[in-house]
Amino acid sequence: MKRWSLILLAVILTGILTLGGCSKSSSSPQPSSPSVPQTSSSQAPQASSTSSPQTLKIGVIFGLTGPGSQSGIGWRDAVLLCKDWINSRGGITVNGQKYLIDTVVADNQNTPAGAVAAATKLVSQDGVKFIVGGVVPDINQGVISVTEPKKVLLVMGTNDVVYPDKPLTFSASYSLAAPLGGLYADLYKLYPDVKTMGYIVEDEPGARAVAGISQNIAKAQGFTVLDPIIHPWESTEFYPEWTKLLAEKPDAVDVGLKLPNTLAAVVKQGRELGFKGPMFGAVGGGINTTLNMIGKDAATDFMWPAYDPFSQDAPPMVQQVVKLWSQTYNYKPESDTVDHFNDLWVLTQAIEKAQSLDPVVVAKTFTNMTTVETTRGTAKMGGARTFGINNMVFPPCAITRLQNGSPELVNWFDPWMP
Amino acid sequence: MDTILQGISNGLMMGWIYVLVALGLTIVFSIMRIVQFAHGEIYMLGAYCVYYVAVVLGLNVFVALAVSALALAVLGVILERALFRRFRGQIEGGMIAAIGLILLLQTGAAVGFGTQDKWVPTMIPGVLVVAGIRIAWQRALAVFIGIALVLVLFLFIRRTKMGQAMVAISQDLDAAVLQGIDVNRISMISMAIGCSLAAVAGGLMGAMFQVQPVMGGFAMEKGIAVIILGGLGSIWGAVVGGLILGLIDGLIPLWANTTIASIIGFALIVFILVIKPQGLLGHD
Repeated sequence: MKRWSLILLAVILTGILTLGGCSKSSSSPQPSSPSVPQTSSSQAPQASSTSSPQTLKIGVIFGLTGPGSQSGIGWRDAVLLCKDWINSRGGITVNGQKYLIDTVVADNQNTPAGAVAAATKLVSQDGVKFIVGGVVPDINQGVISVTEPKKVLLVMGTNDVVYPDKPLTFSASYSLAAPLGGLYADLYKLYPDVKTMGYIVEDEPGARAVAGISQNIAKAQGFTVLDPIIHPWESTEFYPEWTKLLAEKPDAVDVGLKLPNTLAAVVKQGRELGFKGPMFGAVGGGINTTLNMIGKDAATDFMWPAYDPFSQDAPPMVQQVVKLWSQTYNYKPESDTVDHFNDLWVLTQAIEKAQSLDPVVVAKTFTNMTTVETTRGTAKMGGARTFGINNMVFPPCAITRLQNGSPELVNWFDPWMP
Repeated sequence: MDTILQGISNGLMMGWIYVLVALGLTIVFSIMRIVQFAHGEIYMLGAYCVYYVAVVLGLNVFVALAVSALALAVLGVILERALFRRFRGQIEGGMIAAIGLILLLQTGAAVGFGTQDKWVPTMIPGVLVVAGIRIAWQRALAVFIGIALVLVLFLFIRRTKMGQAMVAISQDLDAAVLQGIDVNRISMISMAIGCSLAAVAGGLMGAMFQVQPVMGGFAMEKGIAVIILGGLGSIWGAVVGGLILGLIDGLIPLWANTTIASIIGFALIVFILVIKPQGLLGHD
């Protein structure tokens, strides 16, 4: 009798827990809840513009911990600033209904596995249909592996490529290889004696791809191209690599795609080992951060795509963002930080143009846009001929050179890839 | 030939940095019989201490290094008294305590100092050129300090009563107790010395690379490799082990790459352990 009582009690408890679980899952946020956009199978309500704004939840993923987190935190702050700016202007309007942006931030921990976890959390738990952020190609793949199958539109901060079989994946800035043409043109103009190019390349798929493109450009322009020296991901000790490279006597070195701290180490150590020639890289990293990390002694004859957002010659929207930044945060932004304002801004432009909150509809519209506004000015949409899909944003590109410990703007150019 | 000489120079400089990192570990193990896995986090805290004293407070970097060594020595005393004393001689218990300490210190650093990279100003800028071989003064400084610390430690152990007491404890704890040696006091001092050495290594490395909450991982990876190769508890073993691994890391990439150098380094450790399990200069 006692045993049967226990069994009965267990069955009753199990039933209660099961019913409680079902009840909880049915009341947890679903895509059809009022604050989250409907799918295309149901029309958004025809609300008058005087109805109170609804909320559009957008996910934000950057590396907030781990190596390179210094930059990731700034990039996140740029997206949040954009959100505040959009909301202060009344949000976005879709089919007469105003939406204020609400962001949900997740940390990819600067690893592919962390990116998968962050994206899964945003999509499955938070129910977002749009995500922005991410700059490292290898890590972006982690996010894409979650978003594409779930039909979530992703706007990456930057990526080396866009994919014809991933129509919901966009890049808010040009491929990391896009500035290379301009960098080589400036190298040729400023350092006409350079004949031999060396390469120090991170062992990461995006970095290797960009290095390959760099070498092809160099060969096409008649440079002698040395074999690239490959180093482990996140390495900060480059004496062995530089020693090997210097034995081959390069005139200039492409230091490749790297996070700011790794970039600084390779430039600094190259100067310590006596390399006096020009270096450049299709890298991110703002001027002040890069200069401080490299150190004034080593900061000379180094070029990369960056600009001074505090310069009076900076584009008008950059100046506006910098002003807003100073009112919101207690640290100064770098140029690459300001650029990530665009991650969210271009997405909202695409949503408003599509007049839909369905990611598939928005993606189709975004792909067919020819231009979009960015902090640097009017950007072209491109990539169809190069990558097979028109999912990349190409804002104007600036090249800055560090010379004798000070930055100087070299030029602005159009890095568009058709 | 110049390239090979530069590679040897690179390797020896890195080797002395590894020695600096491993010295503290080996002292703690020889006295307390604990593999202090949180040694990398002490090294990280040392780097942060130098950053805050030199950059935030604006004091001279050498003063910052001294302050860091002292502060982490005090921390070492607290850790020994509050945590590791109860695990003295117990390898497993000490290991678990140290792992818990890693999580605590690393998370605490990320929360307290932030996750953004910081950098310590170069202590001595410029490059020394000797017969065409280039040596950054910052790295040369690390070598000089490493050599000086090894000599001081050696003399301390050989010529002082306290040093001899440490040797006695490392050889036979029970006999040392019977001789009237205050084991608790010697353990505290050993831990203080170990943490001090880690702090100096961290401060020097922070000036060469960046300061970040996860920088301790490198120190532990190399430190453990060095003391296993050289022999647990042997100072000269740490020197020999550090220089061997440094030379591998400096020379092999000239023909292969850094990854292959790491593989060869660890393969060598395994080989040595097979033929001499106590390490090159370790004792049975």
